[in-house]
Amino acid sequence: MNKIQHLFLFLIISAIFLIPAQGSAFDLELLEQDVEELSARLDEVEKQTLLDKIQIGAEVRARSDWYRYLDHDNNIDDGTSVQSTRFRLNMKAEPTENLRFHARLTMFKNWIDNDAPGFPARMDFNDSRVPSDSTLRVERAYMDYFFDILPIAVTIGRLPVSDGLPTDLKENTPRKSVYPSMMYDLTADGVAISLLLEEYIPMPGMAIRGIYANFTSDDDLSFFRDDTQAAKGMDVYVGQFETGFPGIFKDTLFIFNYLEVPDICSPDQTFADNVIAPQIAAAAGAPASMFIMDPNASYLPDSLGSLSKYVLLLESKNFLNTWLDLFVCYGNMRIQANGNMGIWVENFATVPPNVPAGNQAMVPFGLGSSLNVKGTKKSECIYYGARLNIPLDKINKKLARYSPKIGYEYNKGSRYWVGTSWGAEDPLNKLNTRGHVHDFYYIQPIDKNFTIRVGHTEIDYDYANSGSYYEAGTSLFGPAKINTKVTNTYLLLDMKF
Amino acid sequence: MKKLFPCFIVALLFFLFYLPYGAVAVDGEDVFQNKCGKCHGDLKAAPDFSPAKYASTQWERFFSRDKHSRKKDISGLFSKEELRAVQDHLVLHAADSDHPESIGIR
Repeated sequence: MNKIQHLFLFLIISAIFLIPAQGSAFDLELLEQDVEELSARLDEVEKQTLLDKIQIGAEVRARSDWYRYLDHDNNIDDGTSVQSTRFRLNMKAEPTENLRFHARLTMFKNWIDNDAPGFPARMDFNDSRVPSDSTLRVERAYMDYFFDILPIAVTIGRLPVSDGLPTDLKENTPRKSVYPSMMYDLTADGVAISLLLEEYIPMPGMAIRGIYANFTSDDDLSFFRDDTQAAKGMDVYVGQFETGFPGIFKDTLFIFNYLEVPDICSPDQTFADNVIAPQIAAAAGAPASMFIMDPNASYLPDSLGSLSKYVLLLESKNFLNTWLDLFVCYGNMRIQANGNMGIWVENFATVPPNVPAGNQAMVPFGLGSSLNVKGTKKSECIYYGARLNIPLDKINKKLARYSPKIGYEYNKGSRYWVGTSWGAEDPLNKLNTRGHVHDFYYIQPIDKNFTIRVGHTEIDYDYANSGSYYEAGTSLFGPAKINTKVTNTYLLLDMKF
Repeated sequence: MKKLFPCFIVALLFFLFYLPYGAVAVDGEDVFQNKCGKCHGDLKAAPDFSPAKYASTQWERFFSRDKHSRKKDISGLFSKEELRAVQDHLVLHAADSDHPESIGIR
């Protein structure tokens, strides 16, 4: 081959090797461009993710309740029906490894409730459509701080003490509260410390918690001066031990909770004006607004006595993998009255013509009895129930998401029992009952975001004044024996994400 | 209500005695820990992961498209019931699921 032939052959061979090489370089260049573009986009997404510190979820519940009341003579009240809407905005964030934030803003109201705020400029019809005020109800808002070197968490804020266990069964949610509902089911502010024992002991979720909460005196007049018309306030101390279990009982939770209120103060004047004055007015056949408490003539002791309470709860979900959820709860309470009886003095709000002004009624009040007789009043409550998760997927796998749940609960409280459950999910606050309660419900999931529940609650009151530590007026020897019944049948629709 | 209560007790007893012999639920968490955990974990063949790795929709898509088979076919290792139970467990505890709330729990 001559030189030209050699050169030609060289060019052909080079072309064979170079053409793919150029193609690869071209692809690599495109790939690099793609990576750069994707990287730039990912930076934006990452930055946005880091800035999106709060996850937000929402719940809307529409509920219809039908009530029926039977008095001492078994006369049936015509009954009432109430429709309500509950809206919750749930927020949570994990800004750092050590910090957790949770909050829940709630609107809970009856449909077009005309109680508020004022006819005709503002009614429920236009309440959120006209300028009003800055009210926003915060059901819970708290932060946990987990220490790095100690198995301790400190929690401050409006604590998660509503929807107490085992409300999670009826509400079909995970645990949503610190306490058993029998101990305390309402909204409360406080500070808490948790000793997380599970880091040392092989028991899941084992912890000891201590909580301080406070019922603050009314400070309408001033926050730095003593308000003579106000309650003095109460300190509330709570200790709790809780633990889960390993192995076949892994979805089981045990809680021992102890609460101490060293000094129970007199009720606020609003209690006298809203509860006692209407009773006196009714007895006199007068309008409810006719009487008002006279704070100067009344005697409101700073302390009427003390209260201690303990609750034991055992709750097991999917018990032994049998689709059955079970719970049993026992509560024991002692009220120690100190004998220091309070007296409300009621006057005319407006003195009628030809009637001499002056004190019109004196109403004694105390703990356990209106005379606040010195001594201990013991009470207890038992609460148990079960929920059956019907495994429809055993019939047809496509039906799995529609598997319904059926539950039954029973509780019985004794004469002096108070459940402290004024913020409970059920409108009748059944755990406050001094008597028997049967509660039946059926949960029908439509989707993971949509659930229907129907239920029926039947309360048989054995003693009066359920839900109050205080006794007043004619309750000289404690809660009177009664025989009244209330039933509540309801249908509710829950949508959430 | 007094009439309903005995019915409920009968139903409870039926399921309590029937289920142990007839059909006990497959425990998704148990399958996840013991069967998935054979390969997934620190210093194991596949990387460790938790249900919170994905949101529930992502887990549902993962199973409906059988994405695991792209890396390893596991159809012979799990029964259909076990796979279903694992999927339920992962969806139930996914990143966007309803989590427990109390003080001092992560």
